[in-house]
Amino acid sequence: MSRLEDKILDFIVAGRSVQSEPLDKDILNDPAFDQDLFDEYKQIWDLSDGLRDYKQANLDEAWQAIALEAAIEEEEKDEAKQVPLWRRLSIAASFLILIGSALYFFWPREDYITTPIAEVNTQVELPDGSVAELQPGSSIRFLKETKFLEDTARVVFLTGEAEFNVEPDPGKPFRVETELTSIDVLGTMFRYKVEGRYSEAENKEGLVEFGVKADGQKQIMNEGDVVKYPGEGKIEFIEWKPVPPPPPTNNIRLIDLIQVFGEKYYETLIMEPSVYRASGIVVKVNLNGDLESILQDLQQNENVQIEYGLYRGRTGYRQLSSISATDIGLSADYTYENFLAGKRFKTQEEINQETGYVEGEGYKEE
Amino acid sequence: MTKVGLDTKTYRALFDEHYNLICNYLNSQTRDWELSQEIAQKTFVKLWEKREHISFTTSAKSYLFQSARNTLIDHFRARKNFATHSEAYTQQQEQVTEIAVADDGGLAVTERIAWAVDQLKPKTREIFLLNKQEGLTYEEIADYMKISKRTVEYNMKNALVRLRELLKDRI
Repeated sequence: MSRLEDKILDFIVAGRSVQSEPLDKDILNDPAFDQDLFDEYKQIWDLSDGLRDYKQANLDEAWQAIALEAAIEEEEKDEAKQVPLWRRLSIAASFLILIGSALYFFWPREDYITTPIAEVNTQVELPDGSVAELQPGSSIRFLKETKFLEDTARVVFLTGEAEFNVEPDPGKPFRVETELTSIDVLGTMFRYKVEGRYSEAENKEGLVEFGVKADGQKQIMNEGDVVKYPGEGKIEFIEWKPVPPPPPTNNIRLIDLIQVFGEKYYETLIMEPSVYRASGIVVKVNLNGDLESILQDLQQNENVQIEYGLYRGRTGYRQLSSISATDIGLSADYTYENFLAGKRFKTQEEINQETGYVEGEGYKEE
Repeated sequence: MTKVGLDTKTYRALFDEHYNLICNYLNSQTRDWELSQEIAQKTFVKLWEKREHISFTTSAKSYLFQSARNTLIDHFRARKNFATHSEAYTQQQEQVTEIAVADDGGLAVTERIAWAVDQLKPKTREIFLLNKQEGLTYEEIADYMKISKRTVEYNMKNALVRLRELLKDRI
């Protein structure tokens, strides 16, 4: 964070932007001053006032009540039968008890903090500010505050499963150890799970190295990569491959799309007068999607430029966009008139079949 | 008009995505959180009961908002409070669609902010929410958490920086 950005934050956090005070001269006169950056911070600051009236419902309780009332319990049970979770959990619990007992007797306890076994998802903040989110049945052990910070490396011992969000510190590697395996990182976010001799890790951000203690096997993991180690033999490495988004269902002129938007979502899309000539240009979108996914589809079009903004109206916020586009010779297969006449969009299944797209996997190779 | 048959998975996905938003929409109309949850649950039960024959003429979200509003009116009618509340609703009637959509727009943004706040580190999150949700001043937060006012300000700034990263292109 630059000194100027820090001053902007000071100004906003002190509530001075809300009182519409003019910006300090040393901020305004700074050649690096970025009005957009200031506006972004101010927008988030102002919008977060909406949290005052916002509440979070207990979704589990609500779902149980609805499932009971609507008698959808049976269908859920049928689905549950396919996954005998209790069985896997009981085996995992047995392993955890064994590992836990061994640790209890052999670990030098006085210098370490051991978290209680989590009953629900539990966040633990480590002395360096890193956070471990423990899954139920899991626990971590780490050195007490001063020793943890003074040590040459930040080491955490894991039983069970946890997701780590590690504070970057190039001078002090962060290491998570289990009985058989380990992960070394600098600053990243990853999930790590151990069940008896089985280890599994998924890297969500940054770069980590997975290692097997007994034979020195190593595996570098980039974002999205997964490794599995069954307790012996070779590490199974699953490289992340992005799944392309589902194919768009329809070709439609921008002007028709905007009118369909209006009918479906009561949202206003503004085309700048200077680019109004683009209204006849045909774009590809999945008309079955919700507003957000349709806007994302639009952005995927190489011939479309789209900008978002927020406009505060009398009764709240409305999303506004300006669009421009260039003609790449597509012809429309759906129009606003079709929409008014009740013509349905192609379904996702139909378009998937036409293009050979498989949900979650991408396009089938010929 | 698109015909949609709802299976359990799709229904659950609709619940996960929209239930809290519907509760907050109803709460903005009633200022009664318990009642709002009750009406939201009834709305979803009705959706399930109609799953075989349901047709969405707009998005599922618009349908749920409309259904929630109707369920709320039905509730007041049943409670014989209709005379008191119907006047207010009649006044709103002509603007109903606009109000629902506009409120939804604001709530959807707030929901994204709430999601981002949830991603903050526990201490930063607590400080941010004490200020923004509970309305405590920095001095009150410092006193309550036994930390300095400067630490409170530092955490508020950190929260803002992180929120900007998390909300980039999302609001």
